Amino acid sequence: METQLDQTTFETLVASEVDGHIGPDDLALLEAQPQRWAATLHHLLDEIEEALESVARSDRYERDQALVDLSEERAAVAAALRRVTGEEVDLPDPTEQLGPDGEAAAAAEAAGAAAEVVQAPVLQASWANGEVVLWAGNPAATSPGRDELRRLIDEAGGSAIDWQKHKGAPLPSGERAPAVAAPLSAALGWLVGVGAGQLALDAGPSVRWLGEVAAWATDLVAQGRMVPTLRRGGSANAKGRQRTGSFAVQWIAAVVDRERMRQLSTRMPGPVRALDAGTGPERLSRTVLNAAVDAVCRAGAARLVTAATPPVARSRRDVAEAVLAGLAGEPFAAAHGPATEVADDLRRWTAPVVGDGDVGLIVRLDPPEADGGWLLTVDATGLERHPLPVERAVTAPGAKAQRVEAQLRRLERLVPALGRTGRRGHVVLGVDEAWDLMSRTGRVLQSAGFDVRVPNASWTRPSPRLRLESAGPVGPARVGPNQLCKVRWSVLFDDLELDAAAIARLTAQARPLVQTKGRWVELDHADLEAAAKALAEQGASTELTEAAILRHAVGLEESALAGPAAVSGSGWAVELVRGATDEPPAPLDPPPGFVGKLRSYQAEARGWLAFLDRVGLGGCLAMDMGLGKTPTMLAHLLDTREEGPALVIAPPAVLGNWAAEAKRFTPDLRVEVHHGADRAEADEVAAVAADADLVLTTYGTAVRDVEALAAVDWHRVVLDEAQAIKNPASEAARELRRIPARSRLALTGTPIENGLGDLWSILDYTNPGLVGPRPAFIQQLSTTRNGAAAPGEAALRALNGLLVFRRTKAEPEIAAELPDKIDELDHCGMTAEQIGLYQAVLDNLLGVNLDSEDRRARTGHVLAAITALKQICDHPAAYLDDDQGPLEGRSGKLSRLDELVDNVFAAGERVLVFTHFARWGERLAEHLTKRTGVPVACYHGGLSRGTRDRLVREFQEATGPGALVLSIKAGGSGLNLTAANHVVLYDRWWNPAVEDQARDRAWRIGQANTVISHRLVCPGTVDEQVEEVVAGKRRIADLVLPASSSVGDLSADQLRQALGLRPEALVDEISADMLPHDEAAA
Amino acid sequence: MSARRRRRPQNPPSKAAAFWADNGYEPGPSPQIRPTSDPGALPRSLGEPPVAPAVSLRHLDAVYEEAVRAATALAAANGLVPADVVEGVADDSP
Repeated sequence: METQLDQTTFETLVASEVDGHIGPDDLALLEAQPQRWAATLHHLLDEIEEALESVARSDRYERDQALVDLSEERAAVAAALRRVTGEEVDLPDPTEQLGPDGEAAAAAEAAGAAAEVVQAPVLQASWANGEVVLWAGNPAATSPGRDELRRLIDEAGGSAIDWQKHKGAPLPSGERAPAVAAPLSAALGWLVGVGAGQLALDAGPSVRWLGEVAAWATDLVAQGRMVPTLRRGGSANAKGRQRTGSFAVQWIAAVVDRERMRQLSTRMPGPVRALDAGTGPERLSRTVLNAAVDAVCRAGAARLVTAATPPVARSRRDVAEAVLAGLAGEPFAAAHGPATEVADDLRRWTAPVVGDGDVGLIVRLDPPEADGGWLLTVDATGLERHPLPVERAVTAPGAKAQRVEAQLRRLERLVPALGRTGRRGHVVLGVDEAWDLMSRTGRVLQSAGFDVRVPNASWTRPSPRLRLESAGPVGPARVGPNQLCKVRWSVLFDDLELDAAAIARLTAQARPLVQTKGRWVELDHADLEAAAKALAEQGASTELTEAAILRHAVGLEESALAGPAAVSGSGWAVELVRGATDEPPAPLDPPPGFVGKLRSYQAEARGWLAFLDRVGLGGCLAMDMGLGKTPTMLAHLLDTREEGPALVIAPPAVLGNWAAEAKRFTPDLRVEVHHGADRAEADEVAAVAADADLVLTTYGTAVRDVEALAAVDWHRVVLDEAQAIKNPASEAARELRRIPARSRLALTGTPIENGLGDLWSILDYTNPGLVGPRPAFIQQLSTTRNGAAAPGEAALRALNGLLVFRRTKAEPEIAAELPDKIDELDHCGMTAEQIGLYQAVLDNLLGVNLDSEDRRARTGHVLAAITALKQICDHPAAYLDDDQGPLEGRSGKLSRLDELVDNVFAAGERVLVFTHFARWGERLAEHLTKRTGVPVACYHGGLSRGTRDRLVREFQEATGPGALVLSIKAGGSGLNLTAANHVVLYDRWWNPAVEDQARDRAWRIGQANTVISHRLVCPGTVDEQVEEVVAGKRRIADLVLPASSSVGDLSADQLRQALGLRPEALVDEISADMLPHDEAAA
Repeated sequence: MSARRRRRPQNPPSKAAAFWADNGYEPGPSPQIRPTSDPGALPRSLGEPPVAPAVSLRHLDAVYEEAVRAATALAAANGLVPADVVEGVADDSP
């Protein structure tokens, strides 16, 4: 059944179909009345022809644009007629009427001679009556079928669009290439993706050309460069007193770059016009651009709710309201007369921004001269070869002057200040107006189509920084920190230096603008006041010591301006800072005689150590645990061995490691260990040092032998694990300062365990007095420039490269150099209690008449004794079942574990602690919980499955510092504990595979960090024997130990030799060695 | 004969060559789209609009804002808006 539509509604549908915005239901209504459809199209064509003739006779300057618009409408209606009836309408070539487009068409044809011949069919896109038509083809082959077309569309990322079957693209061969089409509004998102270079990279240039136009249209709308026009969309209806018609708002691009448009149309690929060869390239380019602008604007406008309008707008007011309500492009019915008037009004209103753009305005802002005014001037372009002052341009003869006048009025509406002087295009701006133009309005004017030339401005306000210029020594020159120097103070805002007078002047201004780094910025009044206060505080100090200058340079001196001062001029401190920061020391390769290589950061550390030597400073090598501080220092000691002996003071646990690494990396170094009962007597120490390059000792021994050590002329003293002196009041910290040396160095992975006071203690040891008093040091490094609290790492960065060399495993370039696993062997001491117990167990074993026992019983006795000895090495409480006394101070291994856990927790990391003895593991967990305040659990086989699973889950899910103690039997395999990146093997097992398995709980797939494994061993005990067996086992992989035959066959003497204490090898764990920890705990 | 015909080369390209010509088209660099901070500036520069002046400028402003927003969203979805604009981070240059 045919639906009867009134003529206005029918015309609206016809117009919608012409525009390509019709739905399938409405299209069916038109197709049901083909004759009426054709008649309506003829009607429309007649009206457009009338309008074209009328406009062609006009001499208004918007004439060309009107001709373009009407010709587009005519072509669209003719194409619709061709679709509906097959009738070809003879249209005069509009390029003949418009001139410049004809030239573009000729140029395009000429360029076509060099057409590229492609071999494989590619996706092509053509424009046809508001639709994007896709087809596939190339000049050398027949068109592929629809399946191939679909495949190409898929490849181009366009398959999500509802492409409809199209009649096909007419090829020069006479055939039609299968094609599909979609309205531009549906394909716009895809085309913008093509224009962005994200899609359709293999498609033909015609697709990419349309993509570029779509992206340009999007840019124009984002800039607000568009205006509404009112277009007729249907024929007149003579019913009633007034003729009515269908009208719709169409958005078009404004202030379009003429040259860009010309370039785009000249480069338009031929296939774009395959379905509209009658339209010239420039006009087609403009049509596509306007259609894309219209589609974006419609989408935006459709989000707003608009008022209802009368069914037919019969008055001018009605039409105006219908236009406002129809900014989303919906057609509406209106009386012809008033609608035409409104359309003309709109055309006149928008003319200054849709004309041919042959004139333009340059808005220029010049910074103030001495009088302080910002001069804004406006010049016109397009009249003569050079820009003309606009006041002259508007009075020039010819029509262009009117267009300049229109542009100037536009500008004056956006910059009202231009209207306050009698001289047009010339005004002096206040500082607020100038800043507004530079910071905001300038960009708005650019978007509105003006050429804006204002000084660069920046939102980023520079922070003030104290500047200190050292102007030479006062009195006789003495190179070093105690030299007194003349100084001059100022404040830097980026690269702008201000003295007190300049700051006072700027502070008085409402908007203090200054120029730094080529940009104008607004200074903050609070910053200016702080700068003035800082200069007032420091201004009186016209002379400073080099040490004080250095403290200012690293931000250790109090000032109203937080952070380091910029130092310049000359002198010891200035050269020092320059050498550390401006020209940082070059990395140094290992010296001759060093066996091995240094990683890049170790070579940098070597360069820094050499720099310290050159300038006569001490320092703190603060590389993370596992980064190789010991080999780095050994390389430096080897290189400087000729300067004199070096004394290394280290915890007993790492003393053996120093000796072992020295033997491995620097075999030429003459190393003496000054430790234990057999060490040199006080009167022999000097002789020992004279014959050595490196003397190793422990903190405890150094304190005990401090008089003898202080009598030696050391070139260098190195404190390893220097956090041992973090308490400056401790005996160790006080006594060690008595040992003189030309260079003092400190090594630690955790220079800030409890606070910045730790770092002060270390740096005040390495450079006595240089870093100033402890309270000021802590206060200055506790705050950042903006007054916020600074974390410890920030403080380290402030000093890095000068007094501290800080590197962490978290730095990506360092992590990249590290191996997946690092194994470290820590030698631990034995306390007197441990030694006594150990000897008693051994005596008891040997007191039994082993020779009278059978082999099985004998083996059982020996193995039980070995277990007991291993427990004693762990801790007396691990052996004595009923021992519920305090644990601290009774075991070297426990002391070392505490140190390691402190280091791990200070770095915010997590650690697994493995032991063979489950009950001891539980006590360890209790001890660590009590000591650290962090709950530490023990995972062992006596727990239920559910409890064990929960412990693993909680450990893995938690963040921040944490530890888990595990029985090696229960936890040594099958678990995934990658949250930890440290493993401590508290006691040893004969089979290295067991230890490897334990370590691999942390080192598994999913572990992002290097895993550091610490094996704790007590030299001179059964532990060491195990270590040797393990070492042998590593070489003989198929050996299984303990082999009962070998143990059971040992004689008493052999057992004494195998299990007995070797006093010369024992690491002496005396109370003095644990002083710092005891004191810290207290 | 028209002016256009006179300017034609002596050996014009064949119809097929003109049809397939790429005319040296190479896509330019993707634009970096920075939306205007004042969408209504351009219509404001044109003065009072000719349609229902009392209310039209406010309504036009709203439509311009929505259009700019739609264009920005379209551009951002295709990676054409600089990260500092998308993330709302102030660019150093005002």
